[in-house]
Parts: sequence; structure tokens; C-alpha cells
Amino acid sequence: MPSVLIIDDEEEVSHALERVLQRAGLKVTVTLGSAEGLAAFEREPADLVITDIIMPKVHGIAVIKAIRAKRPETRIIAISGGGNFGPLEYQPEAITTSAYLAAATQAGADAVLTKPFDKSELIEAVQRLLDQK
Amino acid sequence: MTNRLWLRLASVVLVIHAVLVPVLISGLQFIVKRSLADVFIDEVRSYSRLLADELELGDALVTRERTLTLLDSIILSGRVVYAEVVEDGQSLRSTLVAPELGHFPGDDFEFGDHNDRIYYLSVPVSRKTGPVALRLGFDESLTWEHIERTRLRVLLALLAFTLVSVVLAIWLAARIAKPMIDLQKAARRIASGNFDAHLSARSSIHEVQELARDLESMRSELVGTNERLSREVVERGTAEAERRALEERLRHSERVATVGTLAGGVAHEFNNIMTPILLYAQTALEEIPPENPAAADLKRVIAAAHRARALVNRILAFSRDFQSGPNTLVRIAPVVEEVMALLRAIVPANIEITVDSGRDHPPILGDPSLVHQLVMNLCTNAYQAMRSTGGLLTVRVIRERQTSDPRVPRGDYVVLDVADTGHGMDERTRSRIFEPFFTTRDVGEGTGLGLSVAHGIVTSMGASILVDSEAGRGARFRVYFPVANPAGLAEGPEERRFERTSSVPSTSLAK
Repeated sequence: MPSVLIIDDEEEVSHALERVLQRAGLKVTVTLGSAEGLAAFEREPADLVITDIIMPKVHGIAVIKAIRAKRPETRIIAISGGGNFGPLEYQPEAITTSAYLAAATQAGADAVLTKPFDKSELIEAVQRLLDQK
Repeated sequence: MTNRLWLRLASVVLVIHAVLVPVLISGLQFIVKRSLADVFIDEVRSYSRLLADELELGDALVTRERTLTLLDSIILSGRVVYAEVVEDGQSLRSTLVAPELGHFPGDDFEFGDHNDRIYYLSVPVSRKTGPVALRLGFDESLTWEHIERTRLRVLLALLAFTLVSVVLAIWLAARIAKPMIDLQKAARRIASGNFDAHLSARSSIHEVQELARDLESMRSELVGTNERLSREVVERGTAEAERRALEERLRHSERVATVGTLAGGVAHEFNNIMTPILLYAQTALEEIPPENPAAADLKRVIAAAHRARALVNRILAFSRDFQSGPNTLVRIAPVVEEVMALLRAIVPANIEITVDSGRDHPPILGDPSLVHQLVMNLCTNAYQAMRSTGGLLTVRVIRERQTSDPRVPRGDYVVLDVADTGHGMDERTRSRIFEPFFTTRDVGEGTGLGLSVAHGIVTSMGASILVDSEAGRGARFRVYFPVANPAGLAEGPEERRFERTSSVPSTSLAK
């Protein structure tokens, strides 16, 4: 059974993703934040990582780069609600949704999704990436 | 000194003359009398001597008859009015002596003695027979007349001299005063605001010329200062207006920026919240039988979530940093064609669309995605104004090499012209359409950001936007893009950028 690691500081978002992906028959691990997520990946590398981009302390872009460096075959989906809110410390220079997602792609994300996305969009992206493996 | 100059000068001359003229007159009269009297006395004395000599030598005194005849002939010769010979105490007087004359009163020492207008003189005549005295009286009146006449002439001459002096003084005063009066008049004209009045004096007087020159240099300095001050007042007014306009623009962009930041923040949170709503609703919908009444409710939840997503995307477009867009050469035609292709799919059938995208026009400098957004916003605004009534949407791209509209700086422009035949707007609305969140539509029909975003894009690109509209008569938006300087940037990457950015969903925004 393919494993999926979810990294998102928004608890509601994480659990909704968990619910959808579990129902799709995947093994799902939920972490709330980049540090926790990277630690979980360290213990048990997942086949697919879904990470938020705008998160406190360690930015999603850094998470993608770390995972890519550690295990290049891992598939990564970056998700973002866009906007430019939040403490400056985790804001990149670019502030538009498209810029966030472009930065994520550049850092090594295989797919990007803009929140809020439809369940079908998510399933489609996940399946496509897992099929590539 | 309140007197007029000529009066003053004339008075001075008169006073001087009043003192000098009487002295002169008495002096001159004395000299006249003296000299004429001396001449008279010299004459009568030498005449008397001549007669005495004649009596001495001749035989006139031999007889009494001959003596009388001689005396009579002396009187008859004129000038002499009294003639008498005294010999041994015996007097023999001419019979022609006027009877009112009395006896010989004695010798006159001075002219005019005895107040009798007769100059008496006795001359001794030596005779063998003994001393004889010839007593004569000369008429002074001719000489007196001469003296009086001369005195009168002197007096008249002096009076004439005084008169001429006074006239000369007045003329001189006028000559001095005239240029000063001219200067005074010019100075008054200047005082009353006519700074062009030249201060010149036609005068041969050095001091007056100097004065005129000094005053004229003062005037030109004054004119210079005045012009400088007027210019400064105008410049300050202009600067003040510019400053106010800048402040207004700054306030506007600050407001837009604040709203943008806020919108961006709200959008981020909102998108996060919407994610579980959408995902749970879609999952739940799959888990319940389709006939369950909750299925319809969940579909409505999903539809509402989709609408919310669309709304947030529009707001997010507003939070974009317009300044940071990459500047490349952009051809407007493909952008317009792309937007119109999208619009044709959503615009109701009662709206006719005419497009002239002007493929031959030169490129402009800007961010292709922003141009896309701008065209989209203007067209969306236009068709929404005609949604209920139907109408004609005309989109044209034209070239204006020498624009005639005074609201736009002169230059070479590519103009995006979007016109509709919708409800239009009044002056009050027109002045506010670029304000964020200002909308005339019902709540839920628009964010009120479309035209504000359009304005922000226009400003960031250094373009100008003009609005012409009247209530009920449609609206026309014209965006003046300065034609890009071909030397400024190499053409090329805009198509690629456009492809990439136009696929970002958040760039479509309807007011």
C-alpha cells in the first residue's frame, strides 16, 4: 500500500486530506508543521508527500528541498492557499499564489494545487504521481 | 517744502530784487544827476567866462545903452534868463529879465540851489574904470528834464531787469521741474501697477538725468522683482497643486496597497478554511446513497464553496504587487484576442461583440499577465453594464501618434478602446469608479475591485486611462499605453510569459 505523508499546519486541512486519501486506499500519516513532518519522513520515508507552502518556522519550499535531497524518488505535491498573510519570517519574496507554486515547482515539487481544490483534482494528482513511481 | 518750485524760485528772485533795485535806483539817480549837473555847470561857467572876457576887452560897457543892449542880446541868445551888470554899486539889469524874478540871490554853489530852477552866477570883469560884476542866471529846466528822463529810463530798465529775472527764474524752475513732474507721473503709474512706465527725463540738467537713471534702474529692478515674485507665486501654486495631486495619488495607492494586503491575508485564511469544507462535502457525497436528501444539500455546499473560491480568486488578484511585474515588450493584439475568446464563452447572446485587435501596432512595455487582466476587467465591466439590456461591446486597439486629448500627455500611444452601450454612469459615479470596493451593483454581484485593479495596472505601466460616460448612454474606457522604445528591450519572450501567466486562474476578475 503506497504511503502518503501530509505536512500542513492547518489541522482541518490535514485531517480532510487524511480522510480523502485514506478512503482512496492509501496509508496516510498526518503531521502539523514542517519540523514534525520532516521528522516523520526521517523515521519512515513516504512514497508521496503533500506539503503546504506557507508554514511557520520552516517554509514549505525548504521542506520540499530537504525531501528532494534526502530521497529523490519521493513524489511531492505542494499545496497553497496563496495570499500574502502571515509573519514576514516565512514569507518568500514572491507573494502571489502562482509565484508560490512556481517556487515550489522550481524547488522540486512534482505537482502544485491551489487551495481549495476539489477532491477529484487531488485524487487525480495523487494517482498520477504514484503511477509514475 | 510744499511750495511749487517755480513759485519758490520766483519769490527768491523778487526778494533779491526788492532789496537791490532801490539801492541801485538811488545810486544810479545820484550818478545821473551828478554827471548831468557837472556838465551843465561846466558849460555855464565857461560860457560866463567867455562873456566876461568879451566885456573886458570890448566896449560894450561904455554907455548905459550899449550895456543894456548887450545884456538883452545875452538873454535873447537863450539859456540865460537873468543878466545884470553891477558897477560901483549901481546895477544895470536887462529889460528882458522876467519881472517875477527878484534880485540876484547870490551865487549858486550846487546845481539846484535856491530851488528856483535857475543857476545864478556872478563873474568878475576887470575894467580900467574899476571892478564890474556880471551877474547871470541860467535856466536849469532843460537839464532837469534831462535828469528826470534819464532817471525814468534807469527805473524802467531796472524794472524790466526784475521782470526778466523773475520770468527767467520761473522758466528755469519749470525746466528743472518738468522732467521731475514727468518722473513723478511715471512713478505714480508704477505705483498704480503699470510697471511698464519708463522713467526717463528729457533734461539737460545732469542731476535730473542722474535722478532719472537711478529711478529707472530702481524701476527695472522692481519690475524684475515683481516678475520673479509673480513667477514664484505661479510656480508655488503649480507645485502646490502637483504636491496635492501626488499626495492624493499616494493616499490612493496606499489605500489600494492596504486593501491588497488585507485581501491577500483574508484570502489565505479563507482558502485554508474552504479546503476541508470542499473535501469533506465531496467525500460525504460519495459515501451516502444518491437518493438521500442530504446528497442535494451537500451538492449545494460544494457549489457554494466553488463560488466562494471564485470570489477569493478575484480578491487575490487584487493583492498582487503591480509594481513587481516583469517588464517586457507586449503586443496587445494577441492578449485582446485571448480575452475575447474567453469572454465570448460567457457573455450572454444579447450582447454583440466587435473586435479590432490591431495586429500591426507596435508593442508596449509591461507585464503581459497584467495587460491580460486589464483587458479582462474592462471588458467584464462593459458586458456587465449591458447584461440585462443587451447591447454592443466594441473593443479596438488603435495607434495614436499625436494624441489630441488634453488629458493625456503628448506622445506616441497604442490605445485600448473598450466601449459599451450599457447604462453608463453619472459624474458622481464616474469620479469613484476606481476606488476599491466601490460598486453600483447589488451585493454579491461584484467585488468592487475590477476597475480599481484596472487602474492600478494602468498606473503601474505608466499608462493613462480615460473614462467617458453619461448616465444611460454607455461608457467608453480608453487606455493609453506609451509605445515601447524599440531600443529599450529586445522583443521575444512575451509570448512565452503570456502563456504561463494567463493560465493562472486568479487573473480573471470581474467587478
